[in-house]
Amino acid sequence: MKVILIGGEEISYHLSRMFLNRGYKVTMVNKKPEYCKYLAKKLKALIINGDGTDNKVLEQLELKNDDVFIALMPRDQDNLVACLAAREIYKIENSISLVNDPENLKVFEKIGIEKTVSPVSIMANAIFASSTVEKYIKSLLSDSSDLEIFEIEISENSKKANKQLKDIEIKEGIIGAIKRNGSTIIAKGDTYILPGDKLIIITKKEMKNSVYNIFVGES
Amino acid sequence: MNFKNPFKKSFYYVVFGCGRLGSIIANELSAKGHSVVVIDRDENSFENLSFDFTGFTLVGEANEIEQMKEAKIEKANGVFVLTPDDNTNIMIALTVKKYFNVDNVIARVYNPKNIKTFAKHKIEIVCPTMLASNRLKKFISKGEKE
Repeated sequence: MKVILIGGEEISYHLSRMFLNRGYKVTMVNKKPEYCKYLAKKLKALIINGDGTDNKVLEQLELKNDDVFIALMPRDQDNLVACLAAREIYKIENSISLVNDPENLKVFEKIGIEKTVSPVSIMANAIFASSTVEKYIKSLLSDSSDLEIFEIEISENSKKANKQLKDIEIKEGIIGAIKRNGSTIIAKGDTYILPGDKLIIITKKEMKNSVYNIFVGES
Repeated sequence: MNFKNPFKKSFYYVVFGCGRLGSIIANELSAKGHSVVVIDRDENSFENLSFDFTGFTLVGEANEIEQMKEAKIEKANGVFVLTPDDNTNIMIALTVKKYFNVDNVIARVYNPKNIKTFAKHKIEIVCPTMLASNRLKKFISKGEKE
């Protein structure tokens, strides 16, 4: 089994390095002669200069049906044609295509190229997911809401320092998480509260002061 | 494809690419009284259309789905795919057929090796290279007989 990378610059370079490090044989096809020279210098892969949608170039690859064929060209139509040729002429089962225009994902699926990667969709989903969470939290904390999320820093003198959470009684509120030394700990009953910890507390607006006093008052 | 029009009924056609070939086909369809939409990424290409062309023109990337929706491609009675790029034509023809379920599609491909890809998906093609080479081969055999 070998890995075939068609086109693409940064992505194909890094993918190639990753596959080579894991011990796979890698063949790369690129249209640009200069970039091919660069790849040949940097990587222990077989580099072929040519158009990855051209059957003459594909013939040189000596494709076997257990090869992994990855199309990474900047134009979706080129990736489609390369993957179709790989599947229909060379009977390759494992072909994966980069799809630049997310609208084309449906087209690739209909045509039967099922394994696709759309960086735009992945990026967009990540953005939408984070903004949805933010919106949700904002709506929870809006003026009309009676919910309050706040942070308390535990001082050396706090009467609750060095105690386990289960021993601390808070009415109408919970400790959600603890920020300690730059990382976050999800609070459980047997977690100790240490001086310097920042507690993330969820409570009702009118209870904020009384919760605050539980931790800040000195022992 | 059946382009005969015995009942003088008007059909709706979409033509991708308005170069030399695309414009001839668009003019012909328009002259026969059909509704035509021509799509090309280059606005200047529409200068190839004749003065009495009565169809519509759309500027845009032919292989974008948005563009095809704008052209109401799902309602087309026939689609001509005549951009100068084989891979673009393959993708457009397959999109029209598989995504928009329009069966009456014909595409131009220059590289005879691409014919296999089309044949598999039952898309009609016209290959200028093959047409010319067949004609020239006949010319050769004619010379040999004399």
